[in-house]
Amino acid sequence: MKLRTVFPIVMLGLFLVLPIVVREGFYLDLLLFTFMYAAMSVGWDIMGGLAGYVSLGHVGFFGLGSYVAGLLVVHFGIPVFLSAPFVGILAGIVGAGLGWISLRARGTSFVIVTLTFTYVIQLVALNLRDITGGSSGLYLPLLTLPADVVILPFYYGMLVLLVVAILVSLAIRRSKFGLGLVAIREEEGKADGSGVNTSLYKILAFAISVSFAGVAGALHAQYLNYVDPDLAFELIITLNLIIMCLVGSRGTLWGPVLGAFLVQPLSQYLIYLTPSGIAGQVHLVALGVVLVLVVMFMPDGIITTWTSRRGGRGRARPVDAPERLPEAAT
Amino acid sequence: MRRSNRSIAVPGVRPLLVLLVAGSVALAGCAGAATPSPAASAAASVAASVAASAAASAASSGPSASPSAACAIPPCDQPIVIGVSQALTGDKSDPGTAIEHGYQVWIKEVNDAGGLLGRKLVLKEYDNQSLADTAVSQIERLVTVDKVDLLFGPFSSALTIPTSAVAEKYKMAFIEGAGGAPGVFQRNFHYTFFVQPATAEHQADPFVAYLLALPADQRPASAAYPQQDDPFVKATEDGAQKALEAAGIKTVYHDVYPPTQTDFASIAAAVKASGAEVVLGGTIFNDAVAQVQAYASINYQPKAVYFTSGPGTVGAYKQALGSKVNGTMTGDGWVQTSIEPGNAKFVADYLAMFPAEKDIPGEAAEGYSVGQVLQAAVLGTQSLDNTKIADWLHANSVQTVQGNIGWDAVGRPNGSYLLEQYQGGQMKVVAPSADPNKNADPVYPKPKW
Amino acid sequence: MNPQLLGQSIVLGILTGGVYALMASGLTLIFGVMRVVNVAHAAMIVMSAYLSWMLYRTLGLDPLLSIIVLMPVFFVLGALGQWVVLRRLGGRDLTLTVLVSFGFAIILEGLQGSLWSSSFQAINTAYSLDSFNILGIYVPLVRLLAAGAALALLGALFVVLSRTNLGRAIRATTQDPRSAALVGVNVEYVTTLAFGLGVAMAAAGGPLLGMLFAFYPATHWLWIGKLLAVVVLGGLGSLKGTFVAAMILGLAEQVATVTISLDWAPLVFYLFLFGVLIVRPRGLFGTVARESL
Repeated sequence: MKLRTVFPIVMLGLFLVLPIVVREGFYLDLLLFTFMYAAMSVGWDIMGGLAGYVSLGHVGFFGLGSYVAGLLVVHFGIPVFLSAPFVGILAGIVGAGLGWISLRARGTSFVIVTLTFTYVIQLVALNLRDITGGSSGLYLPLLTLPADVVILPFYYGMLVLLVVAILVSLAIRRSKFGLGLVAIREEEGKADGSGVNTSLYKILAFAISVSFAGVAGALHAQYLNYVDPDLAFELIITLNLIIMCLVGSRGTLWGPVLGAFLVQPLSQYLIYLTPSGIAGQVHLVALGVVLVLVVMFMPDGIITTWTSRRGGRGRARPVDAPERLPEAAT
Repeated sequence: MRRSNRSIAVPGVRPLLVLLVAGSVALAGCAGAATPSPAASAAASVAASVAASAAASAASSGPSASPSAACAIPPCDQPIVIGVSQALTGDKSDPGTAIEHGYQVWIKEVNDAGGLLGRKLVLKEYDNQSLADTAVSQIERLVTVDKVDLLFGPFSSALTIPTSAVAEKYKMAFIEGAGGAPGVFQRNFHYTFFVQPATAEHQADPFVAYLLALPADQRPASAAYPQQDDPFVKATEDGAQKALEAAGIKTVYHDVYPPTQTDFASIAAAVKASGAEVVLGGTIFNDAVAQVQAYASINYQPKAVYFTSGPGTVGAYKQALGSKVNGTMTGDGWVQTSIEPGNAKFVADYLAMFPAEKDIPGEAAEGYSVGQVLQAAVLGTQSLDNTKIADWLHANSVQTVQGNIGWDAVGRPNGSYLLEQYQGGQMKVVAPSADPNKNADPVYPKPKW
Repeated sequence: MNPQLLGQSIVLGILTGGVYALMASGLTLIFGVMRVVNVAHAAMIVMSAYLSWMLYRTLGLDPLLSIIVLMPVFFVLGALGQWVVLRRLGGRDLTLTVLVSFGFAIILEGLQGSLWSSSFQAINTAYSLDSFNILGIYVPLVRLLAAGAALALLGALFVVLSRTNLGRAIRATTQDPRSAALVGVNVEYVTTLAFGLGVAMAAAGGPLLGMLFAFYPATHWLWIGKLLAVVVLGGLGSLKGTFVAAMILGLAEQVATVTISLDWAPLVFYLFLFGVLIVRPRGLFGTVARESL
């Protein structure tokens, strides 16, 4: 077997047994957030990398997932770990609706509508006070588990979400649907002309893309035992997704995963290593600088740049070079 | 079992493994190096000499710090580490930093007096950027990796609610000065203690009592409740509105605006059109300033104006509004001029430590009180056992600069707030009449803007 | 419904809408010429508000006058930014330009936070609270001044675009850069100047924002949401459409505040936007040609 196939399986095995060795809540917390971001990044990339449509609204679906899962457990007693998959489907349906509004026209409206969607859904969460608790937030019942194992369901839950996201992404890349999405990214007019139902493809891709954010939001709500309109809709979540995909390589299967595993621990440790009085501003500026530098000097990300260098070319291939697809699909 | 030696220089195997696995090998070195904080080791080296001289200086310290002469809880050469995840940047950074300043003043006082139980205090502090996720991760880190001895809470209910669950999980006492919304207490935590005189729903009680005590011909007939959508504000406003309505003061305007509202022109017009004689603004800070400006610019002159918070941030409020501050009322747990035992020392030490500031923010007093409460509990139990500390706090009350505070079974305090009013550009305590801090009579109707 | 209150909110809505139009004009201009969604536009406006606030506090410079100082500075910085950064990205790759402007937005936010902390600020001048009363309607003086300044600047922008050679070149590039190049327009040069002009319009919006509303480093996220919605509703790149959409936003917000409720008022405009996009996917004034990439 090739290293490409063996390595992920070995890593998965490692992650599965890791909590036996590592008992400190902090490291498991760091890893579970890394899994969460990796899963959401893989999702984001289905729309942003494969189809080439940048979404600034994934955090809206993350928050939606948090709220729906929270409401289900608070009002109907349905545990989050049961409802999470359905919350993902619901997020996908809402995503399809939003896609229908913004994806029928080509181009820019989508970016902007996804951004405004976040405000809309946040406002709704704030204003439906009788149901959501408004600004007071929603209190989820705590899991009754011993202190040293209560983190494990979330650790494994996020790991499962990541594995599912990778498998879905892989399946899309190997399908006609995936080829259609790449065709949309390369030349939407031609894709349209050659019989691809571009609107449908885009809407479907967006629905799948946001459903992972919905599930992540659901698990996250129970992890914090609390949802409020500020923490469910932090724009920095979307920002993180974009940086992770870009650093790792957009449009590739493993790029978003690699990006998440680099960026999330790094940015957490940046906060721990900088003096506390300025850590937040430094963190923010650093994220911005990384984003600008990567866009300017390595827009293809680590994986694409590396593989094309290894392929004997001095210069990185442009990010949307069509020949990249077969490589990415493996 | 708490690891006693905190200054291990070699990173442990497990953290290294995790980071390796996480694909950031380079970071592992940094992480290991970062774990024992430089401050901690520096403090450790001086701790012994400080402990020796503690007996001499103990007499000069505050009343509660006196039994700190000899080291009672080993390891005596190590400082006691208090973990904090505070909102030092991001949207809650101003109050978060003010609380942190209160912690600093308290720590300096204790260390100058020889430490706590003969050991130096060190603050292990992370900036949570006002983000709840980060705050939770940091509390996890403080407890499971840094293995701090004690914890302090962050600013605001929204950060206190998720972090207090982590503290509860690890059975760490979570003494906090700024999470007073009802939700903090509704999960019946044993380890959370709110250090202010009372919870949010009782903040406006003195104002309501004052209005209702006015002679019948002066009593206002109607009130307006423009308020920000915020858990603390909502609890206060709901409490006041219910009490005033029950007494026959009609609600002629009630509306909730989002925290992001920056335009108050239409709100002011609507409040004016309602003819309300009294305004109870549910405000945080900026919106209190903006409401005053909007009312003044359309010449709306109510008989009394009360804001839930904002006027208490004296320096910034006066700077924004100048003479228009006069007449506005607010409720607070603490005033700089307070005659509570220990307050004079706190004020003097704060101003010495932060000479650029003239008006001490109320949050600093809250942070300082958190320290006082912790100190009392540690001395009361002669221990760093968090369960003993929590049990002790449930059974005792503590004299702080905000007054004497005790707690019920879920950590709700049992005191009451002061009613304050700006008069001649100064913040005065005008009620309750029985409170020794009262230093002026309320002016009613308030002077025009 | 109190008619006086309604009248009050309509007047406020129109005045506020004028300021929104100014703030969105640069965004539309930049999109039109370069197809760049400048997510950092509102962060630039907030930056200008901070600088104007500093100029007022330190030198006592009136915020309206600070526009004259700030516009040229921002013009140069904007043109420089386009020349150094955006030009490298090959101009029309939407994804990369959105992301790079996203990066600049948070860099600006972080800088503002470290320079001026995250507390709310507002520019309060001696006349900030003055107002006059027309037929029972209070018109705050600063709103009138801000709306007047906004209209004057928008008028000037309109004159530049319609009467000058640069303006004609900008409009030609907006319609089709390739044909513009064929008729002798130096597209690269025009694009750089147009971007500088768009950023200068952001600079003009800053002092007005600071006079009317409180601001803090993270406010730009709220503003970029509003401004981009205005630009989409107006039909991406159409200055006329942007003006109309900004007026609709101003009126919708103020009138909804007194007729529906405070908390739902901000939603009205977004729902209107979504409704329009369902019927007209290209916005109110959008055309097919404009959208082809």
